[in-house]
Amino acid sequence: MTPRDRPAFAAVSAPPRVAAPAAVRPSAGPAVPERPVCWDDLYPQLTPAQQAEVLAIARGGQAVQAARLTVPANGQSSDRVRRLLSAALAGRLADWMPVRAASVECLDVDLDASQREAVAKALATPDLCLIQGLPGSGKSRVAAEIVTQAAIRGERVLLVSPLAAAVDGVLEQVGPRDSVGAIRLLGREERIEQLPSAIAALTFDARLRHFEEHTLGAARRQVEVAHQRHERRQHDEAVWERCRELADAQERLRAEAVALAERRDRIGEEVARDADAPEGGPLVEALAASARTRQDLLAVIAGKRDRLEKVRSGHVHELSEMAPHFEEVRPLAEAKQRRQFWTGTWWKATLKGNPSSRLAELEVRQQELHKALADLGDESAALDRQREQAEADYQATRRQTIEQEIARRRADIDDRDAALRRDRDLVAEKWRLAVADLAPETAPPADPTPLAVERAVESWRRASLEDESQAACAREWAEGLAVLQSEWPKRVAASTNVVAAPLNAVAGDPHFGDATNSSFDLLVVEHAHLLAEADFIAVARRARRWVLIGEADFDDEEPRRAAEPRRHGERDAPRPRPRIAPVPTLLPRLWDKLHADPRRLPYQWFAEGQRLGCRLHALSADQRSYLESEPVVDFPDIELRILARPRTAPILAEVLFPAGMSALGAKEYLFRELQELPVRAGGAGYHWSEDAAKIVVRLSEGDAAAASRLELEAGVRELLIDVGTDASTWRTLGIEFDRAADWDRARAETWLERHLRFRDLGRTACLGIPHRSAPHLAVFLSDLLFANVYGPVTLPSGNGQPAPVEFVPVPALHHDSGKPENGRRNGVSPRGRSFRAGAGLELDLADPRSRDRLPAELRPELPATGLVNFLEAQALVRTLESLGTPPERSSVMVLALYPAQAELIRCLIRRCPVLADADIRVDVPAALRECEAKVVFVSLTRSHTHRAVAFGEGPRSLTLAMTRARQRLILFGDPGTLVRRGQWEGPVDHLDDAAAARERDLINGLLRYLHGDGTHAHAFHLHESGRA
Amino acid sequence: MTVPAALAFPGARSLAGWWRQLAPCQPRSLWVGHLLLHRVEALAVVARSDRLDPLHRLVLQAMSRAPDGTLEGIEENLRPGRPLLGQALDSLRSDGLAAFGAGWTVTERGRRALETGAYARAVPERRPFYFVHGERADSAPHFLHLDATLCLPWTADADWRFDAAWLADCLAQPEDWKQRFRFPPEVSQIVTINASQAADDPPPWRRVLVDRPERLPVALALTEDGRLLGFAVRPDNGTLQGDAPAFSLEEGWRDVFPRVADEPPAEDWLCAWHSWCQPRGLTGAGLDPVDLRPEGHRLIVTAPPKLMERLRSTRSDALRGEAWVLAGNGWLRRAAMLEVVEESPPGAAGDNAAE
Repeated sequence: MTPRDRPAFAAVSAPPRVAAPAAVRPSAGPAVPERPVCWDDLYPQLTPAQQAEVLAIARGGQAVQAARLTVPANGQSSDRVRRLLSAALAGRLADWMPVRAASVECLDVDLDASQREAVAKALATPDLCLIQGLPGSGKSRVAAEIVTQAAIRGERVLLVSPLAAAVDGVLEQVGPRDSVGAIRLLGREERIEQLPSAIAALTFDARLRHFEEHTLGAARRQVEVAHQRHERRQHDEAVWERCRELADAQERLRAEAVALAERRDRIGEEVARDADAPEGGPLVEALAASARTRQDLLAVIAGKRDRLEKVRSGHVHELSEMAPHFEEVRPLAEAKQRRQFWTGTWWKATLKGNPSSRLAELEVRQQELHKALADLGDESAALDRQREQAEADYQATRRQTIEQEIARRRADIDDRDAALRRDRDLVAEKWRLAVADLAPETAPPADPTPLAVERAVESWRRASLEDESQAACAREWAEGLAVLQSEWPKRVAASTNVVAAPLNAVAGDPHFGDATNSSFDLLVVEHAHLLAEADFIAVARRARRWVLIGEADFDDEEPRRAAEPRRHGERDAPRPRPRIAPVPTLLPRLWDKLHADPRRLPYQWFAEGQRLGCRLHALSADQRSYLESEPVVDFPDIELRILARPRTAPILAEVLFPAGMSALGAKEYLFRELQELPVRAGGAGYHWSEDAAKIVVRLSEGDAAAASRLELEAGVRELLIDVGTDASTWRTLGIEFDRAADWDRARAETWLERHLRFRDLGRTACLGIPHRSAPHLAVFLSDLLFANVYGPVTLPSGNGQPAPVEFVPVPALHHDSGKPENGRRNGVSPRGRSFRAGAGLELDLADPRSRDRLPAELRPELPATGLVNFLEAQALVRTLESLGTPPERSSVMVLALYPAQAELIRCLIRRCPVLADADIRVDVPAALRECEAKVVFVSLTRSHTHRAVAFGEGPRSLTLAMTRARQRLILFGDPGTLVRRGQWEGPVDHLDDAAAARERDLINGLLRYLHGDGTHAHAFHLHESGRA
Repeated sequence: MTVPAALAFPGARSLAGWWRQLAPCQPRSLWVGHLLLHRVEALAVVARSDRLDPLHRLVLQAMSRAPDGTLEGIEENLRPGRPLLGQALDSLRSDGLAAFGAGWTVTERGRRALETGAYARAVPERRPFYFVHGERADSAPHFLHLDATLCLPWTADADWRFDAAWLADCLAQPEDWKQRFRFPPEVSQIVTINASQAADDPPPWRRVLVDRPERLPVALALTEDGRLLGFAVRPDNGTLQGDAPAFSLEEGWRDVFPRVADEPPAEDWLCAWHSWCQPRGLTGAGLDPVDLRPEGHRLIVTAPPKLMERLRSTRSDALRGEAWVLAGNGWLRRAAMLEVVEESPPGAAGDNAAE
């Protein structure tokens, strides 16, 4: 289109009769269309009310019309931080939606309920959350938990603090947690070598160095190792061949050995078998020879036996033949012998000759035969025996021969076995050498068998493959890392979900300094009470949500004084001292606007004579002159005091109840008749808790079970503890809403807003429970420094424990220097001590005459200017010595209120043989702000002769010093100087009116303990001798 | 919805030039004007194929080969530093490429990703969807897939609204509808604030649908083959981006632009004719055309002799085929080239072109 065309273009515009619609108007857009603002960027810039509105529209099923959202412009700050801050500081909080934080499962299981609540609120806030706590109440732990939880939720966190040590304190806790990838940025004045090693490792350079040295280095080493392993594996290939051969040989030898063993077992059978064989070797021949010998012998015996048999047969035959002769001869012989001549026999015998001789002959012959037969029998028996003997001899010979054969063969086998064993040993040695030649990572065969070798080879093959794979992986990893090397800084930056930095380090950081490229979901500011508004705005632009954690402004006594019960007659007492309000930093200003402190409610309960009164509005002394009294018509005993100033509407200011009426009755009346709910809160905040049955908002600590319940309306009760007629005792524990009566959180909040005129935005949390200090020390500090605003402390039972706070007077309280005026008795510390004026022990190093009072060897080591107290330093070091073995770093810490005094103490410690090697931290309180120790020594230093002097930088410094101890606090000071200071009103030295007043209060509190009048006197001990 | 007077429409010379420019597309008729669009930004679950990050791939490989799945073991093996490794593992787990049970293990999906170097994942992301504003008050906007580079912001009044259900309806349409209108197939879900929310889902405010009114100066060419091509016009110099259409609809374009489907009524043509005649002084008795007949990209005007004579005497561009008129009064107007023919004398047959 040419320039000439443009009029033509317009010439064909809409016809005259067409009216411009009201609905749509063209925007005067630029030539090249701008891309619309991303919703992720737009939404956080909306006001809380707008955010709520768009969410409501979306829940209604409609798209939000972005064009109708008024993004601040034209006079309004487009900076969300500024807008939110200005709204908060101006108290324009009506459109801030209360945050209802869900409970959080904390990683730090030791967090108490208030700390968990703080964590939950910090995580839930859409914009801002303030956490205040007294020293030692666990702020750093809460910060660490918030940072960790946010990181777990995938958020990027920026952790900053005006104090680098505070950042490091949190980092030390979160650094080791897996979910946290933290980077510590270096402040302008910081150097990496000054940081603790654990923190230094978290710097960007250290992370990059870690990559170079560890990640990349390790990867390269892995490649090398994998390569070497691969080579060794390759070398194994040859070894396996040897192994196979040796295993085969071993197997063969083993088989031979087995065969030999088997043969050895079977030798008996074998020999027996051989012995029975018809033909054979020497054994058979030997056995045959034996057999032949036996046969020969048996043949001889058999011949003999035959001969004997023949003889015997002859004899037997002869005998048998002799029998008829006997039968024939014997009767004849008998008849002849008997002379029976009348018998024929006799006659016959006579005829035959001499039968008797014949018989005798026969008988002799018979006897001879019998005898010969007997002899033959004996001979035959002898032959039998011979035969048996021959048989036995043969058997014995045979056995012997066989046994000899067995022994021979066994010996032969043994010889072969021995040879085999030698061979096997040889093979085993070769095997051992071969296996030793395998790569160390190669699993050797379980035993020298082919099967084991094959298994080992198989395993080796798998391992080789694995090695190759690992080598490839290592190579790939190393090469991949090398490729990624250039982008590693970006990756490190991208992987970082927690950036921690001293406040001045963020803007100039090359990696995270650019706010456009590096945005965070959450900003956590530690020690936010030291942060100026401009500093906060500068850093807050980097994050969507902000959590400010700082010390409670415990110097500001207004809320707690309002909460303190008043004594009779104290009601209208003026404040003890005028104060010049210092310019507060951002945190207290925000806290003042955002924190709903029930102690700020205007209600005051008082007793006037026997009557209980309730002040509904704070009254100045001037206003009291306009009070008018009138009785209630229905209850004349109840007196109303009405503030009736000219030209202003009357206000019911006070209600006075009849004597004997309890607080419970008075409260019931006030709510029923006047719809007033004058609570008395003991806590610094509102704590919501919900369960299935009820919603409770707590205003004080206490036991709900022991509380009296005042029914306010259906389902709403006020819980009161220590209720009595005494106005100074009772407290409102909380207010309870029954779900059964249709109460929910929103309705309860609305109800409270209506009756107590407060809105808890849920963006503040108080930490007040002392975690650092031991209980007795905590109650002492709470009384001395924080007007008892520390949370509930459970004191251990028993009084036998040593006092956790000790005061070592320097100089010692000798009779001539610190003699008490009121009845001090031997060794007994009476109440009501008084001390004389200061001892004048302090030395100004800038004054040459003062400097000359110091030992000559110390002077060169001390700074040119500053205050020191040599005697006090000596007393302190002596006490340190008395602790015995050199204390550990975490157990002892020494704080001096002046740098020169700290240096002097360091010098004395170095010169002390017992302490020379001890790692004892000695410094001024500001330098040890984030430190704590089991035993803390505090050198107050000041010892002036005649005037009140300030102690250190101011009361905060003193408070800081005294709150570093975990178990034992030992103070060194000149009581006389303290007395002088306590008596002085008004500015002193560099302290303005307010700071001086705070310091004076603190010193007077300490003096009360020195005088024995402290509230927790059991926790305090005065070493009158000047030595602890 | 009516058109503001200040909103410009192209002149005859531009139209003639555009017509020549669009000739390769074989346009049958031409509509020009402004598309009113809802640019609806919504949180959509999008299936995306992502390349495996080199570091993640290396970690996955190491995991797949490492028997010890503990963080310590992997760290000992790789030593990339716990934060980086933790982030890589978290990322792998969230993408379903690694799982953590007794130890870190590579999932099947992770193994596939290792093989292919890429993996698909469902990512919740806020992305814009364009809808053509309904021409009638009661008609719902229709989804339009277009190249929105040259869309301009627009300020709408209180009537302008967008119901979240309209976007959800698109998602519920059958696949052929999505293909026809090129609804992004990778979008599997629109996450609204009323959808149930898991612990690690985006916060409610990110689920809000945001509607920004936009307009796109455009020329719509209805081609011979029945396609409707939309060509964007640069807002700064009025040139037509004829190289590539900002959108192209084949079938179903009548659902999106129902008005384009119908020829403007005769009175619109007559009005256009009058608008053309008025600045040229061609009004008066005997100058009204005998007939106006749209035919393709031409408006054939049957002119009485007197009118013809006037045109000839003024050497009107209408006689040279360079005069274009716009019919209608909406955001989109039918463009037609004037073709003047002289009224035939009584008894003569056919029309004679003037030139």
